[in-house]
Amino acid sequence: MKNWTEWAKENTDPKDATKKPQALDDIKVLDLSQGSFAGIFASSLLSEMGAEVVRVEPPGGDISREMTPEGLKINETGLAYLVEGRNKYHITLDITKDKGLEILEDMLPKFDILIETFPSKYLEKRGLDRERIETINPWLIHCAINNYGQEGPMAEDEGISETLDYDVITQALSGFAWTVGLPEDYTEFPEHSRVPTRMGNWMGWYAGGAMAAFSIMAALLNRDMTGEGQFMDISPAEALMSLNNYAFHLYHLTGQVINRVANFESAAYAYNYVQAKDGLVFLAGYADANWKALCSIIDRPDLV
Amino acid sequence: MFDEKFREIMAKNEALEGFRVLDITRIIYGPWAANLMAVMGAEVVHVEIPKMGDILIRAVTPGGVFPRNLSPGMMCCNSNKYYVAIDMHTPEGIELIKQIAAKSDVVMENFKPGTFDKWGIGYRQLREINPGIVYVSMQGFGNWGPISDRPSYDAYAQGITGLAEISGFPDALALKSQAWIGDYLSGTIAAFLTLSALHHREKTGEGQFIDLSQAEVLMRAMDWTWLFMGKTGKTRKRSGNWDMAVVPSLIAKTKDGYVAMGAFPESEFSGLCTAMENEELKKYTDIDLRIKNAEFIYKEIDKWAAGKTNSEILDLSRKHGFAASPVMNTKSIHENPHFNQRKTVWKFEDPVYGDLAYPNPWHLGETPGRIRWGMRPVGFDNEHVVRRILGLGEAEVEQLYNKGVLGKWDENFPATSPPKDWDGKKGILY
Repeated sequence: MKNWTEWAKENTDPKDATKKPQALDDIKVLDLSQGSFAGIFASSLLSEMGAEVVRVEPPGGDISREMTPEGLKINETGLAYLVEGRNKYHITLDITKDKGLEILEDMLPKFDILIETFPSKYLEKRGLDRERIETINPWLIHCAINNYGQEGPMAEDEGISETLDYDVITQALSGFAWTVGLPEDYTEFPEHSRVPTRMGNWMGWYAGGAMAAFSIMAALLNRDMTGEGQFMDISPAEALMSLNNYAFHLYHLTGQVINRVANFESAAYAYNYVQAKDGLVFLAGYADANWKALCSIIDRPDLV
Repeated sequence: MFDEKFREIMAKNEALEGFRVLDITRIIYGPWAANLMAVMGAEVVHVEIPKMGDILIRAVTPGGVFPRNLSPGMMCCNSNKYYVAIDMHTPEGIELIKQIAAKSDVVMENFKPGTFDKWGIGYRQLREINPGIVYVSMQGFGNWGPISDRPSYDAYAQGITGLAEISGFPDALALKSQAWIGDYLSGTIAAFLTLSALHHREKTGEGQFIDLSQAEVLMRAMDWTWLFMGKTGKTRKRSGNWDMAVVPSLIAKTKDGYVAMGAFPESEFSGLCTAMENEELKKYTDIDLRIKNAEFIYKEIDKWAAGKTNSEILDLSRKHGFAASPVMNTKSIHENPHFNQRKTVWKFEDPVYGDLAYPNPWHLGETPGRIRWGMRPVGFDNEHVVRRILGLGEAEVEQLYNKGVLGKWDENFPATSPPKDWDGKKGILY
């Protein structure tokens, strides 16, 4: 038998990807996301597995095309959208006009999945409520993505929920940013840097998109068995909340709030970044054997 | 706690009912992938070693305490699973794994590349027993390639991908997230890929091998970083709490806390300017102009926010139509009426450990996700797995215990054991 590494390379090398079938090549997705890479990333994941994704943008293009560092654009589209527009078919449609909405309704029966990121009552106000969508296409999986969700006091409060759905709001509302950053007593660093800190990437949008794509697939497998579609209410903030270790579980148990710990780990040591001569480096030696090894490397047997 | 909405959710079907997952994973990355399958209703058999179990995660708790013998590290990514403890260093143990694999739809593992192949329970062997098996190998750097034999941790992945390098303030330190996001996000992607492969199997009857690298998932989630480097030849700099591609969207310090704000469309931006009573800023209504003058705009907003309270800014955001949220923490989330009404704050009665609360973001209308139980002591569901699923007889099982192939918790290690007041019966399924 071939050695494992060779077998694994032969069978998973991306250079052969185009010769193989795709898992979702029978699935069609309509992505109406506006200004939210949570929705756009969800449809990217589905498209990477072979789904046919149609992006519906307002005439002039979605505002997500404007999100770009230094204003860098290629053919009028920002770098971030060039990354996540991958594999998708793009159309424009003005759904604020009756005719646009009518065309959208005509399209719905041809799709398996609908992704949108509007404020909670947006489609309903346009006359396209959940019941109507369900009547038009009972096997549709309708995934609504919004930080405040579709129900609950904050979703129903138009003053809060009727804006774009930002990554930075996800990172704050989820409690995630609270736990990232330098503590107050790191006085060797400037004061403005000792605060709850957002992750540099759009971690909130990516977490929301990943959880949405996972939930969509669970619903799709359920549909494979039952023939029934469904509506789902996915909040990127709640998704990121669920990826924050045991912070929430522990608070309920003990009342302890997890705060910022810089590059240390609240529950294990050594497991942290340390400053080397020429940069930061990660060290893990928290299992007994590894700790002993670490102590021996730094020549401090007394610490064992 | 068990109000109408809770009962309504519990009464609904589960999306992955009927799927069985053999979960031989450790720490967080693998366990979280399998946990997602379990919250959607799959029957997940979680394998640990007898006595100590997955001690590297069971021992993880801030402050070294284990309330009610619960392990915070273990409980956060192993809910709804059936806990079996099998010594895989024995031939009988390997035989049990094969038997469970034969009756499963999915195998998930995150041992070093090739370990299971060497033990005779890798994809090549298991597909002979079960051709429909979806086998997910979760690695730091994949099953092949120059650094594939390196062990990985979340913090390693956040470091080597550059995620930490682009997080934090430019004049302070590169920062990893306190949460093990390299494990959690990758586990979420692993679950997504697994379900995609199961859908493919529904069509073709064929299983497959999935090679997933944690580092690659983080790189995939770094938005415009790579394109920026390719196009400009520059590395991406840290920008602290200012998002340099969506101007303005930031976290600002206020008189009494921290607030996140966003005002990207022209209407939202002009609302923010009005709220700030800043005529000067209104010159930057044009998005491109804003991005190019980001530093000036952010400084203006930071200066303004420093003189306001959280609630003043939130009131103004409602009045003038821009986005704002306080930086929440677990306490404010736990008490928040919105998240409680939505059952995102999922409070439930664990059959072994009593009253617990978990975050629940899985609001599927017809098949909502849910947490049935939090975690289990080591080997707690041995009988359910070997007797009910495998159909072994009482004598056979006794022999497996005698040989140490099957085992339970070690009373000397609280985080492996039931709570002290456990009555010897509660929670047992077989």
